[in-house]
Amino acid sequence: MNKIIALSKIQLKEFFSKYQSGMNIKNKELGKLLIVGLIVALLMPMYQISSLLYRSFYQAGYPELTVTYMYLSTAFIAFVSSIPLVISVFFYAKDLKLLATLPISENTIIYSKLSTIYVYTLGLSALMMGPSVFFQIYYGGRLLSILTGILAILIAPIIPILAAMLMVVLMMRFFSNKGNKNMLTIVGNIILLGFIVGIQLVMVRLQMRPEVIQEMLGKEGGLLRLVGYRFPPSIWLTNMLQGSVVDTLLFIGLNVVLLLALSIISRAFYRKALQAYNVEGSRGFGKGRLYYKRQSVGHQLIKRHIKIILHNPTFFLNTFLSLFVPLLMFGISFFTGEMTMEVFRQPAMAPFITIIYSGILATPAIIGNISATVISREGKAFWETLVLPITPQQNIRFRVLSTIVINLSASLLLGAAALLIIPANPLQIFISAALCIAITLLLATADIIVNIKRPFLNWSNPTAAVKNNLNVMISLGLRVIYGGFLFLLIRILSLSMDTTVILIAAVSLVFWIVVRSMLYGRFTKEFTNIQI
Amino acid sequence: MLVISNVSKNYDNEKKAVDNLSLEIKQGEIIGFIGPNGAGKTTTIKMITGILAPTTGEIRINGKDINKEPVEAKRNFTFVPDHPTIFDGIRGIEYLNFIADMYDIPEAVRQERIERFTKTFQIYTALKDSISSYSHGMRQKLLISGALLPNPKLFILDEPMVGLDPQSNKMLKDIMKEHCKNGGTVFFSSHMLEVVENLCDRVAIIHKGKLIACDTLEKIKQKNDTSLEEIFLEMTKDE
Repeated sequence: MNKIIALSKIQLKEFFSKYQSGMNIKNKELGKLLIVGLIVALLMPMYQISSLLYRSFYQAGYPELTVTYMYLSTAFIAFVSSIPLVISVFFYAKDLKLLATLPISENTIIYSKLSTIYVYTLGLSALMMGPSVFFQIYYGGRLLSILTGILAILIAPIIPILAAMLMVVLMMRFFSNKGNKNMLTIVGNIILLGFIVGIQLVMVRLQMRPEVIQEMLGKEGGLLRLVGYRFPPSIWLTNMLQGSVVDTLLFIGLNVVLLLALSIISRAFYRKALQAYNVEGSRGFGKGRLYYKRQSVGHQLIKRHIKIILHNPTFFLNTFLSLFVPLLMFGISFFTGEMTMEVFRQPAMAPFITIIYSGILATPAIIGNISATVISREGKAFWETLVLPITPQQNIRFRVLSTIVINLSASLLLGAAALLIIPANPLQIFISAALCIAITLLLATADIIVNIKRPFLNWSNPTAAVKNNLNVMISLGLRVIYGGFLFLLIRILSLSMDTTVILIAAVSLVFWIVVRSMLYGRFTKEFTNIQI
Repeated sequence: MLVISNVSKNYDNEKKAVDNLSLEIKQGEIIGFIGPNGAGKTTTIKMITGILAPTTGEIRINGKDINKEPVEAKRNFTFVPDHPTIFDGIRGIEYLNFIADMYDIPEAVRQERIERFTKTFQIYTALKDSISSYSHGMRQKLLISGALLPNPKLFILDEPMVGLDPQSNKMLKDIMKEHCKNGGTVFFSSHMLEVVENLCDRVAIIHKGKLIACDTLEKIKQKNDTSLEEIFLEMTKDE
């Protein structure tokens, strides 16, 4: 068998088996069913969006723009998803040591590794672009459209993957020289976030300046340019589906040129980037002094759990970025002018101040479900705390406390920032703080039960421990159910806003006591039986 | 010091990893625990250290049941696993202080011991560095230094020589002997039969989850006048 095919097959098998094991579902049939369900769940909205877009663009006289629009979205999402995949497949892969010793070219290694990312993004592009291409073919009715449509889906992932790879390599070169590998992921994700926010801002500003849109519509092919001006290949792709030979050549040509370019730089990429990055045992230059200070067991354990998050870029980003989402959203909304400082100062808003402020304070606890992976995050180092002379209750308690410390710190910062724009009085602040504490206690305690039931310790990549882990989804599901319960309760009782917040805090405290007794009862037993 | 009584471990109610194992280790002894790959050595050690609960049987360390009184039992031993997988986002000195705090070691004592052990294993100058920059051997040395900090009554090691350089190997063997001379007990597993032969007071051989021999080397050799390697191969030969 061709070496590149053989290697790609192994890479793909490993990638998907890791993905499946990352879902931590013991029943294989259930796992398959879940994947099918996930595909259907993703395909349905894509079909609806494409159908809606097709009808809109058809009315404007440009039905072909459905594909342009969907291709743009696909390219953007594929680019975004490719960044962590490139980092994971190239820079956190453990197989490079073995691959480096095999009699295969650097090109083979790089292309086989890229194949896993390609297959993943191909699935994504088929899901996203598939329905729009289907409409184009169905209503276009030409044989050529079918061929070019299939070709378009097959080629669509190449540009985003290579763009992501280029970006990662450039960052990696920089941070590898600086001697801080983990900064790559952190800075990479922050840049990515900035990129997303930047696009949002550009779009909002464009909407606020309609003359730019009018000008573009006035030109020949104006609407097409308007939709595709951010990314010319989308225009070539659309015209390719329309039968334009020149645009077909441009679109396919660009992809071929990019692949050739990759082939040329792959040797340098392999030698100067991958190999350099994967050098082990490099001595750091430790700072600080040697100390022998005594600290309490609780202090040490909480410090350990927080450091596990801080040390690992995936855990760090997953925890801290999600904790500060409200701050980011506020920032964007204010910057774009969608929200003003005066909004919260209007008399009509007065009754809602407590509930809005409570919501902001409780956000870290609601969306930062970090306890759901607190055991999994330790991975194979989980044995360490098991052999220490501490009780299982202590072991669990300090894990929960770590989450509470992180969440409440974030709530404090958010609360202080929110006070700059929200005119909450001391009583409202007190009530909101009570709700925040109650919700934080309840959710941090409930989340660790999820992780005790579904510990996932044998991961090779931290991304698997968090992102692919269904625990996070289950924990979010619990929030939805609890939120639904509270909503019903509030609807039935129909109290004033302030009383509602007090009621939610009280109910959450009662639930916390119940969940806590379950955690330190039967779930502590399950904790001691976690198999390493 | 360590009493293992009729301990069995089943995985998924089917495979018996350890089968009715009984063993008693007295204070001051060095016991080598040997067996082929998959014989049940690591499972047994995991049960002794409280990482795994036995399906049946009882394990007592210095009179304390590891499953019924885990904290009291764990105060009597420290453990070095076969693979130095530890949280590596901290500096070496932080790890050692972490261990010292867990075993409540006073500051003056910990300073003297940290300096002594880390200088012995030549990692003292690396203590300010992040553990993530340590090599396999350095991590192993850090783990051993940490495990020696509380001066444990029972020192348990799973394949401790793997990854150590010859000097450190020699130092570890000397430390194990000295530890026993000072009243401590050492229980370790190994595949290095010559180390077991030269170091241990008694040898325990496990095969397919069952303890097939546990005696002094002389007594084992009396039955078969040959090397431990020959005896081991003969005993663990599959019919």
